[in-house]
Amino acid sequence: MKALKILSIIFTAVFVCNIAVAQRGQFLTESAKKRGAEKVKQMTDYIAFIADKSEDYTDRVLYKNKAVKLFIQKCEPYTENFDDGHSVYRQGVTMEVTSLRTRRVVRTPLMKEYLTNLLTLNYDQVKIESTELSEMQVSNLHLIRDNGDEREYSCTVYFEQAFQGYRDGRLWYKDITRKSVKCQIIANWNELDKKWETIVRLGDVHALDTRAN
Amino acid sequence: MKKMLFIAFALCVFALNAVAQEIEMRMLDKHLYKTRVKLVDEFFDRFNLKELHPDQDPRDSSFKEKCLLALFDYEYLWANKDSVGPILDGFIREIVDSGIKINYQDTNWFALAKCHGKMKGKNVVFNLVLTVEKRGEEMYKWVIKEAEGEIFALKPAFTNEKLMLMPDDHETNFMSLRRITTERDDIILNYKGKEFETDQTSVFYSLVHYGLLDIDYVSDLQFVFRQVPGYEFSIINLDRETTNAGWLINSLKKVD
Repeated sequence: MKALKILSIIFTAVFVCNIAVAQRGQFLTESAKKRGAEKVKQMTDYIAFIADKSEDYTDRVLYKNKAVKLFIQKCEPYTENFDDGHSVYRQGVTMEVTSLRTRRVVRTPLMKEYLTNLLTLNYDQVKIESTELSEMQVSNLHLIRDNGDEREYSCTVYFEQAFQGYRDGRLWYKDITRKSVKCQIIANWNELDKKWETIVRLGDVHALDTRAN
Repeated sequence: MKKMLFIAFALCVFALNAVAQEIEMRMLDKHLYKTRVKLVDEFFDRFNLKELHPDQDPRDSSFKEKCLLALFDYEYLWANKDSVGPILDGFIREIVDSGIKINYQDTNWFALAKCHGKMKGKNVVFNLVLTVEKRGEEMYKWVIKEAEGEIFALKPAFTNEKLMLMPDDHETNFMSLRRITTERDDIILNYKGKEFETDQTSVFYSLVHYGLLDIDYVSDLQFVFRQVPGYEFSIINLDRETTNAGWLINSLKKVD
């Protein structure tokens, strides 16, 4: 009888722990995906500001520098070092632009180059509209690495961006691009606060340029 | 079957009529955004009825069938109504009745990527087949299963009976091996054993390993699914300004 009591206590404890771990995992999934979308929304807001010539140039440069920090290694190339002493040189974050019309990749600028070019667009006025945060489509979270209380995930956030450029008050150029952004999410379990703390960095971007000509 | 085709036609007409305004008048169209199957993951969710097509009413008695039908490229259905029509009904019935789901972790789906690259400065095109592989508890990765292309189908520039390693070459330390690899490279296959067949995938790996082949970009991406017993279907990304856009089924066939 006593043994039965002890067994039932142990069983209950294990059961409760499993539930807690499962809930912890589920909560992480939901919050990590949300953080990924928020980071992409931050990027789209920065892009709109950087391109906006009505804003002060110094502020636009400041936002460009903020935008760069959203990305892995701040868009810079880096050397990835492995435990066994080997290393691989990694190019900086890039954006691959595919033309719907030609089905070809038309350009692959480094993200840093793309953000810098937004400062000097040849238009008097620019309008950029991006998908609202609540409507950004986020893929499933894929586990890359699990060290117990530290995990790394990858996911993709999809959004659309419409661009219109004006010269002398006339619409000069327009396009809509459909973008998929890779997100790297590092999650650390905070035992004190009993919650996951996530760091999100943006990675490569694939953009489909839907211009007809 | 006729009923299914009629529904498909009706949905097609509806979708084609739901074209967005001219680009000058609009920036982004929210309805088109919601109906588009934007990510492959979203295709999975809609197929598994975890996410419903925004235009379908769950109170409709045939809403599951309509949601699945909405995952097809209507133009493909209409253009192939004679060949696809007879099997479409059975396909959708199979999914609805069995409750079959497709999952990322499944081993019976794969990606087919049409790659454009450069080999020794020349533009080349070839296909890669990629599958999902498990790499630990709850962790997966894509792997290259096969490579297929003209550049990997090694053939000698010409064949001739005289092109051979002589029967007594063993007496001169096989000096001839130096000759056959330095005098002319593109006839090396004249010296293979008759049983040997070249493996295109190994040729791909060798070329990349030795820095002779680079991939520049993927122009066309297709995913092939074999999870529904007796059927194989594939999806591609169809970009157009209608409510029938995004990752859609553009091929369906019966298989053994």
